[in-house]
Amino acid sequence: MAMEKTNTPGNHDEDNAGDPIAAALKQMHDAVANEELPDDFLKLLDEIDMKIASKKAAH
Amino acid sequence: MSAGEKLDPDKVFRDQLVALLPSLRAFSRGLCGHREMADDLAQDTIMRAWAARESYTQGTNFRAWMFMIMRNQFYSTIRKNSRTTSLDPEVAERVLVVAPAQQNGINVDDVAKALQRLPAEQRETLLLIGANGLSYEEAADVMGCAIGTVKSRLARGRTALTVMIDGPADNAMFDSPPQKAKLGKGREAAHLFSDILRDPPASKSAIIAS
Repeated sequence: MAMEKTNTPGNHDEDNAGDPIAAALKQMHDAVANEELPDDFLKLLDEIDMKIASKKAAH
Repeated sequence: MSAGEKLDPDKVFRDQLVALLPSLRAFSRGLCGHREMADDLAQDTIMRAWAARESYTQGTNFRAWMFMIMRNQFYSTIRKNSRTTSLDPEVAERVLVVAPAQQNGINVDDVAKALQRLPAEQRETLLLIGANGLSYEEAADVMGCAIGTVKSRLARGRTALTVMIDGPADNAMFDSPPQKAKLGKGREAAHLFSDILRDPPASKSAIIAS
């Protein structure tokens, strides 16, 4: 069954041949993963970056 | 950076987070079935992971560690709401009527809707293995269960999903037990990460300030 050959990331396309559920799940995943990152996430990363920078400056 | 300069562990952790964000958002969307709630869960997960970053051992399975934090937070939220396994009442209502596939192939939208009707543990198993490509062992680490349990949830989830989409007549091909899993990385993860996030933080700013 294709869904069990999951050890290597990125091997879905070959594995999912003939397994429509696995292919649909992967398609759902890719649709979200390919979305542009919302601003809220960028702000969150900015906060983390500032935290890293301030910690570095303190040392 | 010179060859001898030591990497900033916080920066390394941050870069790993960024690289995993697309998959985190996708896993969250699959769990929640609702974009805004899923992104809230993903952001909570990022903040919790950041707050707990010193408990992560570099070189171990970062993806499994992050997914575990996310699913723990997801179930924590469900327990708080405790009325339904779905975080989104609109989704729960919308998927009550799932039309059979009109063609030979399976409609992705039908799968997405049917997925939200599954018990959460079956849904997350399908998402971890089918959508994110985790091995049985990685999924077992994320869910804190035995590999046999992962296989069982996967088989039952597939069967239920197929019945919801195609009807019981087309289900026979999914009744066979799973084949032997190919085990991958993440072997050591489960015992390292248990219960690290038992207590929810007071606020988002409090986490980032840590």
